Amino acid sequence: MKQLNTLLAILILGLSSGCSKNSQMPNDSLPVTRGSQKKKSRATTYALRDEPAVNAAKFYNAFTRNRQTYLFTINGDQLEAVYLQELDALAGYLCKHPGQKVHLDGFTCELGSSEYNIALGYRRAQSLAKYLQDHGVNREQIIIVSYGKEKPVDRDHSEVAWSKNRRVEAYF
Amino acid sequence: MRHAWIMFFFWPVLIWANLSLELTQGTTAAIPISIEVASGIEEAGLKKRTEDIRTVIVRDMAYTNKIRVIDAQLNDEADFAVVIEASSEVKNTICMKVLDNYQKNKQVIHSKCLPVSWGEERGVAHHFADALVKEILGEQSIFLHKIAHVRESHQDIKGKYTLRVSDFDGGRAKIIAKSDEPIMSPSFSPDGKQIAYVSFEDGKSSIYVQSLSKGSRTLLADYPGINGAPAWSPSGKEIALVLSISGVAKLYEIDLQSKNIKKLTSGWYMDTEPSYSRDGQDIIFTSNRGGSPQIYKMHRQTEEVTQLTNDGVYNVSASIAEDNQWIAFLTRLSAKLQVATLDLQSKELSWVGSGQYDDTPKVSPRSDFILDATNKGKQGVLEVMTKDGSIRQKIIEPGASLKHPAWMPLAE
Repeated sequence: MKQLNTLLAILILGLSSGCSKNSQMPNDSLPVTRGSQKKKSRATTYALRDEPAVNAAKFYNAFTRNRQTYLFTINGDQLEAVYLQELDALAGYLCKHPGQKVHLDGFTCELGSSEYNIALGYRRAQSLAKYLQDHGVNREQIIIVSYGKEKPVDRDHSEVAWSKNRRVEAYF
Repeated sequence: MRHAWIMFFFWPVLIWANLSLELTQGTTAAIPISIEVASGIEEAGLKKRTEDIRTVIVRDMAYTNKIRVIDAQLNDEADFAVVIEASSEVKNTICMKVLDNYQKNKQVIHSKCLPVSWGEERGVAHHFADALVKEILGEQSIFLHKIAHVRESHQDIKGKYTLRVSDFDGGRAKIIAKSDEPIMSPSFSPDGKQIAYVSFEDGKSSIYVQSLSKGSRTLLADYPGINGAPAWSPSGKEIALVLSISGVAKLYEIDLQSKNIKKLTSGWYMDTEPSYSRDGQDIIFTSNRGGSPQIYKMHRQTEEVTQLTNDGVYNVSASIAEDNQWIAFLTRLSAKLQVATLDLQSKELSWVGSGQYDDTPKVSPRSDFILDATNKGKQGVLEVMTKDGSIRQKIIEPGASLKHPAWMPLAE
């Protein structure tokens, strides 16, 4: 998973973060004419403009063929700073592809009750969702499911196992 | 969207699981009894089945802590002699006779005959054990109680999760739903005829209500996000549940007739694990509104909320006793999660769990036992224990984890 995250980090270098929240075009874009005013108002998807199409395809593949994992601290629902660059790119991609939905599955370690952990897993997925929404992604594109402590990636009773299980998995 | 394979059953499938039970018994002065299989059962199969029945009765007696089955060579010391024999009149029928050794001529004080079909030996044994406890102690037993639980196979991918109804000791488990995706949080209706549960069969959580006799089911809640922790009200008219439609886990209540849904709690903290007090006056739940997860009680009429736990930083998953005097819940101490009980009057706290990763303690219908999920190594197992934890039995099934237990209410 770490390798994949590294690969993603490479893929997303240069992708700008999220959708533009206002209708301003990037500095290097052509002056907007009155005739294209309507188009401009939806021009919130310049993030991938500078990138070769192949990177977007790879990005798509990374989220389609694999699940990207974002880990959390015990009982925590705060996003780790290390993931923000990747999430910026994810937001950018989703803005560019408004028809694309992203699944965010929330999980916890075994240290807690089943149902409290469902609530906590949801909160973790919600943290990612909020970040994406803050970067312009439409709420309708995000599907959250919390499994709590069901489906652990590691069944061991150890901090190593628990830290792997406290996660959100994102996939298209 | 993934669509998992799900089956639910009209005629429950009998499990011939290789069930293993580990009993830890307390020792107190107890009434000595002898249990013997009558000699003269000639047919080998019937003899074996009769002996199996004896074994289960002996095990059941250990739960009482008040009746002690003594070794055969000490039979003279028994206050009561119990004889298990095949009926001489009716085929495939086993009889139990209880003789009072202190009465003249060792008078038979109780006799009971039950037909025993294949695979039902345990059921017959529990009936005999129940009769013994009533006769000798004049008390109600736990032996005829039923439970629901989820079995997660460690090998199978197809049908990995099964929801089952079994005897109190995990025996005679019958599958009532089967899915590739998790099933959790079963809750029986107060009449024991229906069961609500959470299923992830559609790649998201939904709550279903299933009829146990018909096997048919209806979808109760299928909102975006969490559909969790269903709990039936004592009147059977409402189900409390958890939804996240406001952006965070909150308590709701669905009126089963009108299907009207009412939000019970609000705010930005997490509220979950609702359960009704047995009189229906209060809803007990878990919330992190005070900073850490603790157990609260909300009066349904006045909506007044009272905090019940405050020792420690993690107290969740409460189940309240019939008399509303105590709760069983999960409490965390460092990296250990264990079942505890709290007397709501005296505030006396007792640690009764045995595991390190206990889950979902449930107080029995007569409040004399606690059923919880715990672990044995990497395997999930169930545990039935007396309220004080002095007698406990683990229910273990090889190649699978057992979890999400619930008591079936007793038939009126």
